[in-house]
Amino acid sequence: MLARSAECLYWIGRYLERTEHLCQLLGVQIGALIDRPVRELTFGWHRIYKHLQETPPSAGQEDEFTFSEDETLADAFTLTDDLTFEAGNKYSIWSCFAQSRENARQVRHCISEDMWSSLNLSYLRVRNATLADIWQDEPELFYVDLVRDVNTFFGMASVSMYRDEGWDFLQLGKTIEHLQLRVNLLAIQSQDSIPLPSDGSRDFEWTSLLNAYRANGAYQQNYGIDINGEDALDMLVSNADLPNSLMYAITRTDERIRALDLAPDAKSGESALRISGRLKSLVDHEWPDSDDRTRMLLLISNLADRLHGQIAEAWFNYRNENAARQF
Amino acid sequence: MATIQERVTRSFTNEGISFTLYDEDEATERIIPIDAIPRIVPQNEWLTIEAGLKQRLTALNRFLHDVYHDARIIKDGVIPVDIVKSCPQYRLEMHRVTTPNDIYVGICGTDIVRTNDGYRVLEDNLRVPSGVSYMIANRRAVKSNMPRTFRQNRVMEIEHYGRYLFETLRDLTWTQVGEPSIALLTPGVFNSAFYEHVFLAHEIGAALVEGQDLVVNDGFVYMRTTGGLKKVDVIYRRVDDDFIDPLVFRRDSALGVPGLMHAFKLGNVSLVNAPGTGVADDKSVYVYVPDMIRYYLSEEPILENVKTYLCRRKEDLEYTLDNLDSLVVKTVGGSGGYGMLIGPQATHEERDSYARGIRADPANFIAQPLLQLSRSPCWIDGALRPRCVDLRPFILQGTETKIVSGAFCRVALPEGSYVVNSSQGGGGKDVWVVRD
Repeated sequence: MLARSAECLYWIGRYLERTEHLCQLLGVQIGALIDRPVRELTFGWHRIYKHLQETPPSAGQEDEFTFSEDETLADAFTLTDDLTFEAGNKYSIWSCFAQSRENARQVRHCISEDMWSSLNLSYLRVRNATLADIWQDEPELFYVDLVRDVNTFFGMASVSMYRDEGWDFLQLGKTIEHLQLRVNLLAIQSQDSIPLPSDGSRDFEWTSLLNAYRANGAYQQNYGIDINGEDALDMLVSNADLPNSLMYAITRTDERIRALDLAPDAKSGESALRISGRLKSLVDHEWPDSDDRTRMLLLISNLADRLHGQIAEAWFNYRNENAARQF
Repeated sequence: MATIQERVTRSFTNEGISFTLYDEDEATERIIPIDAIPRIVPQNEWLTIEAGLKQRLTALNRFLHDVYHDARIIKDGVIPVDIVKSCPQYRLEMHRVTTPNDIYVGICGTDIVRTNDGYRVLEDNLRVPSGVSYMIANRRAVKSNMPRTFRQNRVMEIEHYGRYLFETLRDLTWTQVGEPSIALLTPGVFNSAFYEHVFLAHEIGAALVEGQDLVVNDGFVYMRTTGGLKKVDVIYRRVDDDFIDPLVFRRDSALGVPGLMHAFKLGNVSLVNAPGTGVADDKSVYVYVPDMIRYYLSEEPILENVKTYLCRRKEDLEYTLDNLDSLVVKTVGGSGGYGMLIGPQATHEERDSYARGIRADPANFIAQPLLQLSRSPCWIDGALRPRCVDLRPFILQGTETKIVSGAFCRVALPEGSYVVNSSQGGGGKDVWVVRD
């Protein structure tokens, strides 16, 4: 497959995974506007922006969010608009859809008509929407629909896409993005770096995260009804059966990389394989006995970033003189 | 009819069948307007068109081989040397360069209009003709939305165009055996016809490459794949001559591949269409195509040209200047309907201004009478309305010449307009060649 086409497919996977991730967080956050206390809402906005390493609009300094109900609601509209429709925000849902569609436009010949139509329709729907429109009704449903759109796209891919390298790179992009976003989110949360009022309980931060990841049922099955932060973190990192866990993403990533043919840049390809193996080993063997979980999460985050770099070097942006020739 | 029109339009929107318009600041992706009412062409008329187009392309390929080799047609006085040598599309770099089967134009899109006197060729597009994807997209949309009407009318199929194109490209490789490695070279996602490039790459199973995806090593062309560098046998290029190789043509081109012309001249890769084919679709050379047919094939042209005045000729210049109010005047290198004067619709000042331009550089202009283009019924604003149309069939020439029985029909959608180009508000409609 053409290296640039493979890269486009990889980025389609990444952008759509990012879209789904953000929609899940925003869905929970906006749902919380109905009845949750201001401190929880403030925490939720902090968490979203911090793990994306983005600065919220109008936040001239740290902790500008106030704790007055009225002001928080006003901020919620602005922040939701920024994270949903702001073209200047590279993490906004609009940007993610536009980028994934732009990549798909370049490889329409490599994906099925169903995949293209599904993505194009979602793109048109987001393009034609405004926050003012969706805010009047049940805004969280907008995000539920978008998650469904993303899942429809990947469902279409799974039933219509030939299982060649294109499929592998699409899935690889999806799992790498999954890994990077979630490990950053967990690292932010476990660092206690987000300020809370002194009277605040921390239970809700894990409850909302389990909600966003649709992992409440799995948690109850494993640990019972009381939410404990340590247990929730452990499950979201190392439970291999949970589709939103880091271990799940790491395992799928490793499978995809090993399924690929030898990389044109063999050195980077081998490095990618070693990093992928190291990630598995970290979560499998070192995580359970780790005392410093934040440090472990930061290490996983760092390795995930390096893995992305090595994949790009190995298969997409390799130097011509390093590449083997085929006749 | 309104329901069908709405469905057809919606299907184009949902599927993103688009072209890109540019203004000074930005590129805008536009859905190409489609009219759901097909244009009907009886099979007996089509057979004449088909024979005429095959004849014409055969002569044009003979001309291209001749003009880049012995130039017999010039030596024999059929075409003046200055017409050829002054054409910017005449490429010295192609001198004595041979191509597989001596075919220079493998893919041609000829513009035909129907006048009171019958079908006439308006223009031969021999460089990177576009529109074939819209021909097929129109057909798919219309067929799926009025299946019974389609079936009842015994419409001839066009959807095997992709197979014909593949076979033609295979014919135009040097080895002509096995499965060739085909790349479709596109200027990229910002090109107005990018949708078509993707569409065609899919139809023929080609890699859709940009210049940055290709590299020349030891006189061979390779594309960068996830498995390493893969040799390319034939390139269906949708990049203009000027930009395909910065070592030979425009040095500032970022769209091309350094060394591509060297590999091409060595016979290690085929370029379809070959560089330098633009000399044969220059508007001045167009006048001589009927003479080419007589010269190379010893046949009378089956399809006639539109009467054309070459302003480089003194008598034609005088006639043009005296009759600007009834003529359409174009620059010889112009395209897309830009920069032309439609005399009957122009103001006095516009005609005066244009006349000054003609006097300053007569060789740069040709003139044609304003044709009474045939009109076709279109569904516009909830009613049937007549609009001017033309016809662009696509002719493929490899070891044999192939045409599917259909064409891209361009429609001048604004009322009173004669300009069918998509970039100026034109749309498209399906063409039904109906069996007798």
